[in-house]
Amino acid sequence: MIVGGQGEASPEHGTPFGQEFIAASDQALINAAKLGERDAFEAIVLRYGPEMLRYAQNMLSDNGAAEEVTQDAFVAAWKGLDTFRGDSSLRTWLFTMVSHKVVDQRRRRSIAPAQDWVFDTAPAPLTDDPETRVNNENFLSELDLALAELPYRQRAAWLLREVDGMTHVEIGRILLITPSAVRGHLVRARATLSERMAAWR
Amino acid sequence: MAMTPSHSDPVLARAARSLKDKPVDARWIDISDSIISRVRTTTRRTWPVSAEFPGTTEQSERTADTLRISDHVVRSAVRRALAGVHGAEPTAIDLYLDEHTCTGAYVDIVGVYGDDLQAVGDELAGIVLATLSDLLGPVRELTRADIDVHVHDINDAETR
Repeated sequence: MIVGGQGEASPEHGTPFGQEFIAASDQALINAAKLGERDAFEAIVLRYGPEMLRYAQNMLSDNGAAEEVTQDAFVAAWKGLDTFRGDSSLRTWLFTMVSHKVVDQRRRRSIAPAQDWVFDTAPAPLTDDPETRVNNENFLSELDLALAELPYRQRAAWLLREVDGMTHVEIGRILLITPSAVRGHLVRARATLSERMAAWR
Repeated sequence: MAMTPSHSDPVLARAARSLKDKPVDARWIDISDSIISRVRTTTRRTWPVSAEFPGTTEQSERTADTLRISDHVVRSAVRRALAGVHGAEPTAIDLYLDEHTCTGAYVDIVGVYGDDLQAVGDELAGIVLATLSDLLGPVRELTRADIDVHVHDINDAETR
């Protein structure tokens, strides 16, 4: 009998968290995590969690739901480590997880109305100038409303491309569409956003 | 990142930049703690491996009780023992088991270009044997022949 595959490490070990994994490559982290090293997986959480949470927040009009979706995505990733074959980068694979959870979340519940989205929005980047700050907050509120009006794939494609810097191929993997379809969604998203935000030009 | 049409539109460029530059959510520390807690409590398949109680010499003591260690703990200990030795990186570790008795191990590694892989394999196998012996005790005497080391890829030492 051979036992292998998934596993979990004992929390009792001598290496303090972060020492071995904090600067490790994605490949080293995924190899160690596959062998059950929770510390390696925790390093993955800390490395990619903030941008996954930001994506979920921008996709859902609800910070609580975004938090839940991000947690669910990581638990699914932990359980499914053996399904990661390296066909895509670790980051793309994790974004695929969170994207699926976003879709599930949207199916489970109706999306909050646009005005709630405004209240859920994180504060604008800090600045010393009150006028600039108010201006930034207004801009972000308007942007949030504009994004909320975009169809799901356009919104996802624009965020993944422009905010997370992904390629068309990577976005296609995440959204389960072809790179050509990604281009189409991006063109439409840019046109709509450009028109919707014209007052800021 | 390549230039895109959004960058040619100053408003869309500002929009992307505004979202990118948003500070990390202030609740992230709490959220990451929750994620890590959930991962720690998420059970995964495990198998108990027979081990000897440390320090027992009498046969009666050995048979009076049963000590079993999760295969995850065993594989994790082997990974830690092997990590970095000759730059090798374990990518899979399987235990050969006869019911609950460990009868050997299979180790898959990424080796380093230019190394004598036969010698590295022997050294790694020795480390695996020592780790299993330390952890499980003399439940069953294992030899080099019980440990399979497979080098499935080679990395350039400069990239490690």
